[in-house]
Amino acid sequence: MEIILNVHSIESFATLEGAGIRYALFLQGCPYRCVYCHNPDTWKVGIGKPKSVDSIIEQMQHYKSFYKNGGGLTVTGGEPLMQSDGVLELFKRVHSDLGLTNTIDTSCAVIPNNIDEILEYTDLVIVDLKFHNNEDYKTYANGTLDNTITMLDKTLQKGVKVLVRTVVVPNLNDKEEDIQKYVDIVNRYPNVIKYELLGYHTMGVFKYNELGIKYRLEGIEPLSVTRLKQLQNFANSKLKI
Amino acid sequence: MREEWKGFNEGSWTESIDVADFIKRNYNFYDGDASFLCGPTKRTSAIMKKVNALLKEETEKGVVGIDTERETSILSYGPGYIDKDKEIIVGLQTEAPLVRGLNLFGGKRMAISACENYGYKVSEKVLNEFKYRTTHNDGVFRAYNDTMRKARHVGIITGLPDAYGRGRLIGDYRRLALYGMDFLIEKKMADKVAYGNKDMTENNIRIVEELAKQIDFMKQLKVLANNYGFDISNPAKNAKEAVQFTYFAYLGSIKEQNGAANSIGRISTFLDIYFERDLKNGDLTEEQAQEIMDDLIIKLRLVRHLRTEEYNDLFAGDPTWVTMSEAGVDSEGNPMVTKNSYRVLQTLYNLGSSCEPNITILWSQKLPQAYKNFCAQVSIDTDSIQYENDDVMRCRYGNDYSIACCVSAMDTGKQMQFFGARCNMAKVLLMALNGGVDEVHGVQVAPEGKVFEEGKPLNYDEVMKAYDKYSDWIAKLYVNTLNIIHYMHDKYAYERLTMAFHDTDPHRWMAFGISGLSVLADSLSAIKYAKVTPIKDERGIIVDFKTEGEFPKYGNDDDRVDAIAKYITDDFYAKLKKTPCYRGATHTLSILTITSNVVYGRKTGNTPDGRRAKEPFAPGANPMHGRDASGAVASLASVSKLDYDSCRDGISNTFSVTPEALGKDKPTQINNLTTMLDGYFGRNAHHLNVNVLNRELLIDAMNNPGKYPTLTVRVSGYAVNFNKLTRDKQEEVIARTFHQKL
Repeated sequence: MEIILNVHSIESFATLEGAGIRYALFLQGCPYRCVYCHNPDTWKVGIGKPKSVDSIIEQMQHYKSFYKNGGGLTVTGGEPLMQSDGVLELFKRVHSDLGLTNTIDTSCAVIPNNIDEILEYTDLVIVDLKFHNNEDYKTYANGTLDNTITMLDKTLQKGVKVLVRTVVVPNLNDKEEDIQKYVDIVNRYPNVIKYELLGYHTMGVFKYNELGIKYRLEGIEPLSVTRLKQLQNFANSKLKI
Repeated sequence: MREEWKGFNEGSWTESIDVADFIKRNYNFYDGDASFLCGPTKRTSAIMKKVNALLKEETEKGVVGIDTERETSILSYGPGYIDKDKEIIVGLQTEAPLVRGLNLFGGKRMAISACENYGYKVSEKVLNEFKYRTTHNDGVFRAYNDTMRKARHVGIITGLPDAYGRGRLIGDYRRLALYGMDFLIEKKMADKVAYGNKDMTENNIRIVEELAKQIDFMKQLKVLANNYGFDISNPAKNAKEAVQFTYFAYLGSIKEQNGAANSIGRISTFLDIYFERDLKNGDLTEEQAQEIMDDLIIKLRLVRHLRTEEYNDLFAGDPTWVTMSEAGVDSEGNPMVTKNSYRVLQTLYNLGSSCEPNITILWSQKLPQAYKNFCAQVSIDTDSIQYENDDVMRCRYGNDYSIACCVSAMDTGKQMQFFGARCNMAKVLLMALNGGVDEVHGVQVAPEGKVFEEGKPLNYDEVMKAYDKYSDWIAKLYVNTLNIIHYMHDKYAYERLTMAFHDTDPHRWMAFGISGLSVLADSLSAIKYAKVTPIKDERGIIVDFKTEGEFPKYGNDDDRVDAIAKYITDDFYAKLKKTPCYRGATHTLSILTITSNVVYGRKTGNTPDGRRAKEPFAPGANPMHGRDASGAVASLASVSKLDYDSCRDGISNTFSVTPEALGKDKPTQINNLTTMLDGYFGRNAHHLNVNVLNRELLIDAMNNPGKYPTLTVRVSGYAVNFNKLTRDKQEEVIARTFHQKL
């Protein structure tokens, strides 16, 4: 049977989601409700454009000349692992038919049953480590830290490389003691190749207005570049990578 | 072998004029990185300080000065200098840097009105001298028929070189350095004897007369060089002389004629042979080699012609297209990258970023990675260079072709082109729907035909039938118009010195162009896949459309509409070929607009794709602003479907990407940009302008020009200083798609 994915959008020239130039597949639907999310239009489940695995492979094949030097497919979203059957099939085909690399960019909101098999075909997992305790996860994302830890454990077992990212929001998680706590978690995983802090920005706020969703960080300024640099330097000094 | 050639490998070049053979046998491939390069010397920085002050003055005043007392020619002016004691390479167009000369051979009115635009007046002396002279412009208007005048007036064919120099010629200026003028004159004299002994047909008489003109001007160039203290009778003896002689040949050409684009050709690898010989002999250090190249590039940055406001509207930013073609691969597949290919790029650091010379990298998959990386780095840092696909051009033009203007390839010194501006394809569609009437002026331009009904949705097949008829009509008119222009140009404004650096009777291309490709493709797509209903005004002319429903848009890698874009170009090229060109020229077609996409848009009514009247077209072969919504790769993939064999004069694509979208740090950005270029050109695409910048930066520069004196942007086959664009053109550049991702 043909496997269909619910796609929010496609970016044929993505460079921030893993190595080289990548085909970024934004999948529709996410159970988390992160306060700083810049893609709220990807939350709702069941909408989006249906696209078959075949058609995605065909399109990637067509663009293959752009994806050399380590490039390939990145599934992101939304939460891509909500559509884990499709992701697995797609990853298999990217490896076997195209010989390109696979990256998952995940919030860890979902740990699907087939995660072990998916990881067999994954070259890099980008883990969004949002908060360093379950309480904040609940309040600001409607999620749990436990799931993220489970995912990190899985990657370690499978020996898959991980890039960990944290969005730093002023007055929320921008103290050195916050960063120290994140680093303590990251340091438990020798398979992490990089820990990257991202500054909170407001470029997605207009989408909330368009969708009629209340924006909960109203009035909070973007994190300054200087502060971000300071915190990243601090993190680097504590990291074991 | 001559003494001056000591140390060079012999070949057929020693017997007859064959610069390509000389290069092939002597160039030194360099596959290292940029670490050998030297920064600017104190001398260079001191000269640049003076030059920058002059450039600032020019930006403020429009021109630094106009010499209104004499018409420009090779020997009109005495020697001119920026700083006589400090200059290494000498020669200016007039007697002072940035002062512009008067050229009335293209047309008197143009020169008079250009002077008036800047508050100057052509002297009585010059006007009297030209009183009884026929200019190129006079000749053309004697021969134009009524339809040609009308077509020109409504703007269906515009920007024609009928009142200014046609340009787009590249003399093989290297010949002067390699052979010296006496040998070149001797060869031309021999040709003149040979042609003089043939039957005196119109063609042969013309060639004999042209040769006489060439020889006259070759002798004049010797005098010019002598005025600067140089004897160019014999070949150059060292690198400094090789650079100087090549520059003299170019300088003489642009003193004589003011063609729109006067490109310098493919000189760096040639010159590198001289640099290597001097470096090896210990006559030169790397610092000195760089200093010589820096000084040459300073001169090329100062090239100026006097233009009118209308001209600047079409070709914004005062471009001169001193296009320099770099790198490429030889016939055996070896990259022709030399240290000098690096030195040329280094000038953008040593002298600051600049739009001229128009540095063009002949990109091949086979170029060494280190050089690719350096090019990408320079693009990211300066936005000053463009890329063209050597892998598609080499097999069609040989391995010694150069780029003229933006994207026009020609075998250096062996081929020339008759430049032909462009035809407004969006207007052709509107005219087809209105039975030959222009939608703006309301006049019957083309033969009368069926006027499509108001209120009734357009039927694709019927529209295509009408389009077929009217595109056939315009193609014929277009060829015939250009035939008149170039006949008259040869007759009244023949480029004597530029042509002296060509083979006698070179191969000729006639370069047609189209504008509004994406508007026409999307409009036809709308008619085919959505519902488009015409709306008429009180004159009974279709002036607007009600477009309902979705339709595929060019730039998203959707074959349904990309195939229409490809059809338009293939079909129009086939139609042009039905009418023969003047002087046996071969038809070519470009999809390149310079900045005229703004002007053409201004002259064109509402179109079925939803574009409103007067709104700019997308430049060149670009998808329409903001409609390429599937990411950069999809956008590039759409453009790469156009067939280069139908568009041998070039397919221009201007690509803007934010630094963040290209990657997080510089090494990643460099890697991704080279991968992207390999990817795009690997699909047989032709040309890419690369801008790595943010829209916010441009908006800030538009409002605070003083903050960004040297901000350079690639627009359409060339680069401009952003401050020199008018507000509407700045806005159009800002409106273009910037590939970015949150």
